[in-house]
Amino acid sequence: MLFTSFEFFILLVITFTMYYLPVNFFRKGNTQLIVLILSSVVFYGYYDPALLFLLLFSGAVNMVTSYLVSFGKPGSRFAIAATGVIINLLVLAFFKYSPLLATSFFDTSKGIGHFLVTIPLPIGISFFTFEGISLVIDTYKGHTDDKFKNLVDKSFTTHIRNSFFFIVFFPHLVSGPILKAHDFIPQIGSKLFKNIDWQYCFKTLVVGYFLKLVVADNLKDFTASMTYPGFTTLSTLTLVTMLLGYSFQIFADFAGYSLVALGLAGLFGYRLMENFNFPYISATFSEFWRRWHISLSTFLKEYLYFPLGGNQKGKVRTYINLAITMVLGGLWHGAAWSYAVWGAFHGGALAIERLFNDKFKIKIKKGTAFYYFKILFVFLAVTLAWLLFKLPDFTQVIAYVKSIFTNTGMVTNYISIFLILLYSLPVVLYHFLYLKRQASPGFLRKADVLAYGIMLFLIFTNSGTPGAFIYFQF
Amino acid sequence: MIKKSIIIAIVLIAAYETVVRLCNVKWDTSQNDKSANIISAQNFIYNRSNQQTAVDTLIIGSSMSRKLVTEALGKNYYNLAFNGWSAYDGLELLKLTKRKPACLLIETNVVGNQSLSEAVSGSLSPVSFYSNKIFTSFQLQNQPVGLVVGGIKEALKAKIEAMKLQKRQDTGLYNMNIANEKKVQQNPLHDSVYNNRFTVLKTLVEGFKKQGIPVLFFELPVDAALMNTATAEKNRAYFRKYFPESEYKYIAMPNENNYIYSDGIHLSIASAAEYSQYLKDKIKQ
Repeated sequence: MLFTSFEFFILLVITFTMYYLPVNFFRKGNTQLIVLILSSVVFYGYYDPALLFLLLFSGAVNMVTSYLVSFGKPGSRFAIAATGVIINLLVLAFFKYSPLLATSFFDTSKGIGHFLVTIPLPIGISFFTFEGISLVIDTYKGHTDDKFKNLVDKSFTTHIRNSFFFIVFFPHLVSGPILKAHDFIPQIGSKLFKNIDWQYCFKTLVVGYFLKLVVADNLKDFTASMTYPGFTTLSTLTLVTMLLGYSFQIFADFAGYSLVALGLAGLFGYRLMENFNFPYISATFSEFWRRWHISLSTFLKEYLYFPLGGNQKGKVRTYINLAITMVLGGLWHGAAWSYAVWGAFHGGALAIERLFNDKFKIKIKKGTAFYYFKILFVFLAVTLAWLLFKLPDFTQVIAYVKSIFTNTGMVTNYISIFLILLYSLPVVLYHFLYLKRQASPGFLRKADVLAYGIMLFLIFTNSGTPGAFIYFQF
Repeated sequence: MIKKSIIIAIVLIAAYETVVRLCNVKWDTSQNDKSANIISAQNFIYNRSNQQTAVDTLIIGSSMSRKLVTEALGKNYYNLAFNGWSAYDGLELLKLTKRKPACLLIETNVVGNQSLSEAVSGSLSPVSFYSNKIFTSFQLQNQPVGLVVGGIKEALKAKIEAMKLQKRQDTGLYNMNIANEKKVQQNPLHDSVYNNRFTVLKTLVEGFKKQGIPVLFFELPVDAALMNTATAEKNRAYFRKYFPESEYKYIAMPNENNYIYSDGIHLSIASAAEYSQYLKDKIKQ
């Protein structure tokens, strides 16, 4: 189900009402969780109930392994945890990377190549698989680290209920934020209507829906022209503006979705981790990755970069670890080599940046012209790399960049340029306001009420044509 | 804060609804091809009555048919063709609205994807239908940005036309369009895809035919270089296979192809009027 669909609205109203029914029976945490689990199952299986089998299988693997890791024989804990992680990765690899394997190494018109290329990609698999891995690893860590203790209940049925709820809770199920077991499971319990933080929910929902419906969905119909060979006949200015527009679109789409997820979870008394923290004000690539898709970058850091050795095994190993983490992070997004190139680009940028900082140890003061130049530089580099997202065929990316340089004399449609910039403006203002409020927290605070009112007005009167969330494909 | 924001939003919506109703803007408020499609579909759904459709000859097809000049065709012609989509979308929309036009004029140039845009099907859902009918400001054609941009386009009409003309006169660009289109059309879709799409199309067309609605097929001319691409040939063959000439009437293409195209595929304004006249004469026959 889409958060923007009418069916979802109905499901939300029913779930919310059942969840907070003023009957003691329903106010017990157990029943509340069952309401949310059932609702999440409907949410996930609404268009294709067959997908539920995979979700149940994946959930079952993680529920059983995490329980065995906690209460099984101490000597076999590592083997069980490793098995759980491997099964998760195999499931992900089979559904997500088989077509890439097929197109790279087999004849896709017949035999195994044809079989592999036709395997469907179940929605949300990258997200719930990573959450399953987090459950197993966090449980394993619980034996040595207090932070991860008590994630698994002694009662097997309670554990099944809690861990399945952790994986399927609908606000994060299909597009994140990617939850970590140690962040979420301790929150599970009875929730009361009076404890809802309405202001938080209202703000995140309004901004989230505004970014998705008004900004991203409108920009999408302009950036739809970024297809080969159509773009080769567009002017330089159009191509550059569309690329900028896509950069703002992908932010508005994903940050919007994440904010809606946060607001929805808040309605049921749960706090999910912030997934975006104004990423386009980043002055370095490492800062960008602390602000963009935070739940993925922290996941990769905790469960991949640190186990690889992080920055503890010398400088060269640090650069290699960064590159490996980012390439795999790139491939997590999609089964195409261009995603790996995208990851390598960011990995390379992080490594070079680290090398540069280690060598020169330059500290740039905030607010200086050079600081803003770096923000612009990082934004433009990140934006250029988004081309690899929009055009997963690498030769098309080259053709796009080439067209930017060759199509200087072509006629430009200034109305489209104006509209792309207009729909991008809210994202710029969103970041500008944040920067400004860092220096003076009271800046335009009184106008917030008006801003939320205008955003609500535009959601009703100026939403774009409906479109799926970009990150659904991952 | 929440209450105040909601009150502000309600006041803004009410004020804007009043402005939209009072101004009754006539200019084109579409912001891009997709929004132009949705506006056309919503206009058909919300603003065209069943009685009007009953005497209409509906033009169903792609952006190529959208260029046709309905006034040149005569009274009671209604253009339900969509940019970047195909005859399927118009027919599916017509089926969902359960309306019966006087005649169907179906373009055969494009065989497109067969999943009706969610924005179109969504416009027919009970909630959208009634809210858009009651609040005209919720209709896509009345979006604040669309109205402003439409106004700008109206004011700059002469300049925009000059720009289009300049674009058309750029032979390098024209040849590039032809080359790109040739590249796209040299590899037609697989037979299994064609068969699936035509099975759906046949069911739709036969449904209308069974209701006694006459159906006419027509193919718009394109630049001579694109006339016989592999895709064009395959489209023609499949149309004749699923809709044989013994059972369906096809309007032949003009013998002479002296039309001017903006990009090799779409007729220029003058040529579209000329071709519309040709079509009118053929329909009369």
